[in-house]
Amino acid sequence: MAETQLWICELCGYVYDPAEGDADGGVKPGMTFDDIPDDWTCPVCGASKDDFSPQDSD
Amino acid sequence: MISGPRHFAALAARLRWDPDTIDLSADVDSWRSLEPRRRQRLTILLAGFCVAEHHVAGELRPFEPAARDPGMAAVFAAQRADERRHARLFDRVAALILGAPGPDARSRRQFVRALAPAPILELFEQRLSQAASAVAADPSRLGEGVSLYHLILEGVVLTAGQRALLAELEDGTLPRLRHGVELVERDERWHVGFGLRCMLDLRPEPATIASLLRQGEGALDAWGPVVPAVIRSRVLAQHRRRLAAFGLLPADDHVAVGRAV
Repeated sequence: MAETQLWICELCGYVYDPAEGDADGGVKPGMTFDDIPDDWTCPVCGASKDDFSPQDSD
Repeated sequence: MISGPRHFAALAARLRWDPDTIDLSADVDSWRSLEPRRRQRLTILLAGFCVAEHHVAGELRPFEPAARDPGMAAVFAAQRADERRHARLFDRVAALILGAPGPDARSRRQFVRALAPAPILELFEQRLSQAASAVAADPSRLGEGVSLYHLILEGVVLTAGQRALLAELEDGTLPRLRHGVELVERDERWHVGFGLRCMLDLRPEPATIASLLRQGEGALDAWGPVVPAVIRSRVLAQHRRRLAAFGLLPADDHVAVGRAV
């Protein structure tokens, strides 16, 4: 089953959704957050992966 | 996808800080001993921010009542509190670092205004004022206001200026000033994210998006040579990628974005 965990940039509010990926950042749909290359940055503010945290479902 | 108003309101509350607790007076001796050309570059940047932050704090007022969603209106209010903090910080910078004379913020701003780049004055004193007036007169023009305020002025012009300031201050010579700029830059990231969320909700016309791209490129020149070319290039690439990530960029431009970032 594909991962559905969303990750949020703590600095700007961008939410990484594995179902969508990040085409312009070179991340194909279906890629889990852990599998994204370490040099990937937030498409909105340029923050690093370290600035993301799992988004709680509510 | 980008967060909704509840997230931004919580973020704004969590990040709140007090500009009066940063002891800028401790940086004054280091400022006076800076190499003159470096001090001149910093003076131009700081003077620009003194003017810009005053205007973004004041001109955001009509955005709150123009927001259709009460949650979004509350975030505009939280952002305005941030902007007042930024304006207060840079007024203290004007007084303590730049040595602006005068009994109040207005007179200090008049002093530093003469040191700021003319295109910065035009953007923040005239164009932003016109956009805010348009939003006040017609709330349906909120999208135009947000596109200028959040995505161009904050997302491009102020971001480029902050990156240049932080690069100049990277060696730790003026640690309190750098700390203040870091706090401002941190706030601006969520302001830009919030602006993008507003734009997605408001579903801008293609003409507005095309205008965003053109304005973003043109606005980068506002600082002149005090913002190095490498910083301009990175900020513009981020601006384009930001728009592309949310389908706000014409399809033909996506290839260019992939190469730029």
